Amino acid sequence: MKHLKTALFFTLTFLTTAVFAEDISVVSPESVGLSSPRLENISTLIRSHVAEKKIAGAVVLVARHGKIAYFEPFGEADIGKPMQKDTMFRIASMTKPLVTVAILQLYEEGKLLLSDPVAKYIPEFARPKVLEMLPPGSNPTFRLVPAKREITVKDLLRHTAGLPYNFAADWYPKNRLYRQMYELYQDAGISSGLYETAGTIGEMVKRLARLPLARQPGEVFEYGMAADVQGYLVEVVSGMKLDDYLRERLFKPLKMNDTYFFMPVSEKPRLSALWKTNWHGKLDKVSDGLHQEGAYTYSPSYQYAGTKTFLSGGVGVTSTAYDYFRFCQMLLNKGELEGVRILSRKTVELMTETNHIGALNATTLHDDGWKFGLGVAIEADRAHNVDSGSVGTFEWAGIFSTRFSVDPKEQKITLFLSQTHPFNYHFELWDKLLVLSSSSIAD
Amino acid sequence: MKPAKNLPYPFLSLRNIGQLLVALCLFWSDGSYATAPRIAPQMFGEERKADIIAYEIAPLVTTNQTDGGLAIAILSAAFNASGQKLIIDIVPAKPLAKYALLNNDVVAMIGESQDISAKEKNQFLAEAFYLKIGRHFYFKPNWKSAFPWQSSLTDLKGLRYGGLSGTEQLTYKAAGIQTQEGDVRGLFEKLRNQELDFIGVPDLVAEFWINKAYPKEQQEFVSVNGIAWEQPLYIFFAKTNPRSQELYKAFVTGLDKIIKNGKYQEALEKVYGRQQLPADFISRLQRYRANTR
Repeated sequence: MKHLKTALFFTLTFLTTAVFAEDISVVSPESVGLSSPRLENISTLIRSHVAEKKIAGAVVLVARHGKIAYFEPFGEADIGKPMQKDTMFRIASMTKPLVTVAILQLYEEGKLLLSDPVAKYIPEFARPKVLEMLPPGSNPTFRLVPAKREITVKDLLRHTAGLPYNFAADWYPKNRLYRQMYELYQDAGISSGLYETAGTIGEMVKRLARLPLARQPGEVFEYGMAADVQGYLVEVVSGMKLDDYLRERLFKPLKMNDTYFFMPVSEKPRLSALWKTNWHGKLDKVSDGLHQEGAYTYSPSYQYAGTKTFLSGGVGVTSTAYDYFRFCQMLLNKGELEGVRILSRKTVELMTETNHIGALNATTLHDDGWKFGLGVAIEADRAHNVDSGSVGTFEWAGIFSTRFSVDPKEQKITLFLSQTHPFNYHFELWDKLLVLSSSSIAD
Repeated sequence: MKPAKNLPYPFLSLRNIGQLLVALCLFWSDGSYATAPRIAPQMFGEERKADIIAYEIAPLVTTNQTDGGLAIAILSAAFNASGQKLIIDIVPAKPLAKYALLNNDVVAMIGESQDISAKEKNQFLAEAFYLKIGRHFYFKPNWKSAFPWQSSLTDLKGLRYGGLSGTEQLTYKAAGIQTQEGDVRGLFEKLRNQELDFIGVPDLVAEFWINKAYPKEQQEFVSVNGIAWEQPLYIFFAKTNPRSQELYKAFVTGLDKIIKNGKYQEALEKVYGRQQLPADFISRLQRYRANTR
């Protein structure tokens, strides 16, 4: 009986893989102007990282002219379990562009304007105050000044609403402002969404709205909680729960069949484990449940444990390389995929081709010289430290080491999905991958 | 503006003069909007200025209930009994409430004794008006044999205790118990994950949190018999505020009234139910009231 069960399990696994492999055709790199030997450099790079136990595994996908030319799994998804092409990943902040598209759909339907004050839909945001630190030793330690203006929907989409993440206190340990914001967030129960969180996003966003902003609206690129506000905004404006909205309006039309907020229990075996690395050969699987490291709290189980009621528009989604490729391809096609239109060409241009932060720089993840559209960073010139190979490339990433890059000029998509903590080590790997991907162009 | 053709500089044509006048009018016109400003404060209604500020301690002080939670309901009832109708604002974080108090934005703040430093104490008139009743909780699945509590903390020697930040820990340490501090979420999570053996949390707060975060495991979080500790909630009136004396007196008188006429007890029973409410709740509270004067 036991043998029968095992045989059945392997047969089913094989069939599932077979069906998946059959559905997704990978073309010869040369047929889309890419070089096979040069793409092989990506394999060498990732294999060396796996061999050196910097990461446990990854899936890398490179597509050009709408066709996948490179799609490789590396290493392990879990202990003793090889990475598969259809392994599922906590894509974390790669959720943000999905929610941005949802907001832009509502914008296209005339249900909101990007210039609208957020308080029009979430009244708790009305008359915001801005936190200003007073000299050390002062009591109180800060003062609150009225914001010069209300925050707008566009401020949320371009991260100029003054809503940092709590763990910015770790990123900038000497900055007392971030420490104070962290303390306010802790007190108010503001969740980054990266761990099991009770309650709803609406409850949390209303509390967040009553806290002061860290910056005057529009004045600083401040990456953080804005996408969670966007997620709740989708709920308020559409009248649908965020997961229902995304499933019906984005995932189903794009056939992103393996993309979820809270994955079904049956799919859990496909989810990669999360690993903690020291980048020097020590690699440990992170156990389920809450982990606190400084101001940063995370949990590998947040997408299948807990109350499953908190739909984080910032980090809540799990997906696969193929599904996210389909989302990227839709954007690359200016809003359409396989005859299904998600956004108009004009709106995709507004999202991915327009600098919305003026002279500011989108320094989170990137470097000076990267600008920000709506929900994505855009390479404005090539004279800086992170180069995708083309001006106009747009991209974003997730804190568990996932990343995507779309190069409209070369019609190329690069996706890297891993599940490794902490994120910081991966800048080097990603920067190299971008170089290898762009230098594989051979036409 | 270029000089018009056929006219020697600095002469201007009539058309040029017209253009100049229009430009000057635009320059001196008020505001920089082509039309009215798109976002005006009036769009969001009138801003109400609060008399009293409180920070969220769900479910005792909360924006999620129309009466503001049990503590706010008692506070309002006391002021009402003295004919005072005040605006009470509940903010999501303690430092914001303290800021409003120190900044004289409000007359009074609701909080705990540790919210006011020894140095600040003389600046405020304080009155205790509610008691948080702390109870010990353990997580049943973590105990194969019975939880070793009988009647005294020494029964729990060697165990790991988690208390809310700022609450008393010395008696636990004296009983040979390891102690940790945290917030409600963190304490319950650590209890569940076997990083703590038992925790001390106010009874209503614990009940609220268990229902919210662990709806399927409600029966697994067990409350140990007996009161673990108690902690009063105070209202702190800023002496520098010209209304503080008047409102302080009104509050004390009103609180006495609702205790005497049974409305205080009614409010408690509405939330607690008769079973769990400590029989001597009000006499315990009165001891703190006497001590603050």
